[in-house]
Amino acid sequence: MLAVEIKNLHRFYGDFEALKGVTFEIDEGEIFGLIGPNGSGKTTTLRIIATILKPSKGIVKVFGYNVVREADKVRKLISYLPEDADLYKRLTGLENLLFFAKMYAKTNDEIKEMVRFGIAISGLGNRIHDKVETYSKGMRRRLALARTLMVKPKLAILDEPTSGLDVYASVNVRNSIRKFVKETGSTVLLSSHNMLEVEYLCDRVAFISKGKIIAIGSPNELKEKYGATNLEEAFVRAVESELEET
Amino acid sequence: MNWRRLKNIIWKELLDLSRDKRTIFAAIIVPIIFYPTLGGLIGYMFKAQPAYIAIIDYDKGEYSEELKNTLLNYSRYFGNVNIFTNYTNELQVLDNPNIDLTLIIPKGFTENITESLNGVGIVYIKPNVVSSKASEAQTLVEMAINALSNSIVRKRIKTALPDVEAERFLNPIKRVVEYIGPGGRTATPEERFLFLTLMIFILGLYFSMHPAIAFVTDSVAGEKERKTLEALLVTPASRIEILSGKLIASLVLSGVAAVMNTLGVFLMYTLLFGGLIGVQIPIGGGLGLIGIYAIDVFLTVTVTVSIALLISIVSGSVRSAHSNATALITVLALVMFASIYGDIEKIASQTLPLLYLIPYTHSVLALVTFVKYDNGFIFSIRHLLILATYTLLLISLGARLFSGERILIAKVRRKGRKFRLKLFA
Repeated sequence: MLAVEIKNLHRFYGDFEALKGVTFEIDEGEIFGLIGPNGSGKTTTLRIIATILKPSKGIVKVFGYNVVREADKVRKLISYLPEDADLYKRLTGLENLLFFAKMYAKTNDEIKEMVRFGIAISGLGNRIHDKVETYSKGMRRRLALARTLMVKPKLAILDEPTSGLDVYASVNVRNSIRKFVKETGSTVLLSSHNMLEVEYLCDRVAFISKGKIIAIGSPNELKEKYGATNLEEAFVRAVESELEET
Repeated sequence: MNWRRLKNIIWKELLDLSRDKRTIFAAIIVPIIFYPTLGGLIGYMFKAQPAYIAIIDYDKGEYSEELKNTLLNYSRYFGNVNIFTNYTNELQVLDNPNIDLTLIIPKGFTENITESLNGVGIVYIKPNVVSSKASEAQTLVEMAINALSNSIVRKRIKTALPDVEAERFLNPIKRVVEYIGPGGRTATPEERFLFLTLMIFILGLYFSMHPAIAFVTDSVAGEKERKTLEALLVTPASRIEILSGKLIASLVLSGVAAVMNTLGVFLMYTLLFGGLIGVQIPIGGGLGLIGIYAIDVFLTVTVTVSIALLISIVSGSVRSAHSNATALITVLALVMFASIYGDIEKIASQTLPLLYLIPYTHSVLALVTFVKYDNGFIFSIRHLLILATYTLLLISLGARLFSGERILIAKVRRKGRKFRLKLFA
């Protein structure tokens, strides 16, 4: 079954067209990366899939549910980590996890299980009992990721999950995502600037530039297609070839 | 509506609120400290600050002595008044800027009064315009002059009309004053202070609104700014559950603030009058007025929360939400300040229908009508219900506006062209 199905997606902000007919699909259980520079339309695409924004035109479905007409059903299946998302600073790490767990869980056992899983993903140990305002940026990002993944969504949407983190913290986050997918079999859609990260994590990747998908495939397929040694080079060549065509 | 999720949102909001020291201080601690301190301070300043009266007696005659003695006698009963009789000329008085009033008795004062039955003596009263006690001092001096005038007239009547009873001659009309309340009932003496009571209560209403503005703007625009709202909107919680959770938490704050505010204003009132008059004066209108005030504070804060909520939804940051909400609410609350100086039902009969559109008009009228009319309770409840209706309408509008689109994207106008500003992407 398709986890995400996007057909001819357009989105306008006033006169500005942020998305110009985006089309792609994500299979269930896949880690899919959306790569593009700032302002290319990554966050807008993710927000539409996450039911926060509405498409101006086109169809977006998550596990067969339309994100506009069946937003309530979609929200039960997804979890979203916004770019630079913060947490409730006056609450402890544990209280933050508890709050989000109660949003999804139906029983106390489910809540306990989610929080236990969240604590494990966060790797915060005893610091989980401290207020978030005392955490470093890396700790906050790990907790935000834990909050997103602990509910074991069928689709986890991660917008720049390692944005602003140092190398060590980024490696931690990447390992957590990998481990999560292995344990739960969930689908992950992530956006990133970091080509190395995407190459390490993703089964398939879509290059997005100026609101258009310019290439889709596995990292190896894309490197092969553009005769590149790494994904970064492949992206640059894909953008150049798109410019030549237009 | 999922009650479990709603309870969870309320729990989070209240936990967050309980750790927000600034809001707790402003909503709960300030009323209980600020109002009584203000009342006590104003009362103390009036009581502790003496009125200084300088008397320059160029006459040194029988009546100038009598005037001085009358003044000295009155000052003993009048409160904190100091009378200086050691000055010999006006230049000496100028050296003491604390003198509130100078009374000059010119030479010939006694002689002018006693020369004939038509004789008139002149005194010069010079109050200091920059003094806060000058008016009090002037009242005392005029009381003493009236007493002396009365005494002189009695003597003249005795001389010219020995058969006439001086008291009846001087007061051909007997005045009987009876204070009446709404519906013609006899009012209690403390009800004479109702106007002042309302003035203090209306000020209390105004100050009670501000902590709620800070809480709501932080709860909605703050979550938006800190980027916690985006993750919350993607949870299975519906928009109405999220909004209701925030509103209910705001109402809890409003309720606590209302109780603390009522207590604070009550203490302010008693301390203020204790200081001003030296005796504790029970609130005119009694417990009924205090009860109406408590409900009024709650509903006024609630309607303020609803206005601040609407502004927070369409604002891009806490700062703009807070400043816009404060500005709008302050403008709307001008009706409160206007009502301090008079009965708005009387002074604004032409514009009253327009004023009725402002929710805070009903905050004021709920108090005013309670003391003004017979069966004032019914009028008061009517205005409180209008306030509650305003709140419900504003909350419904807020629920309609509380969409992801509106929350994440702020509409701005620049150079006359409408476009949308991306806040996060």
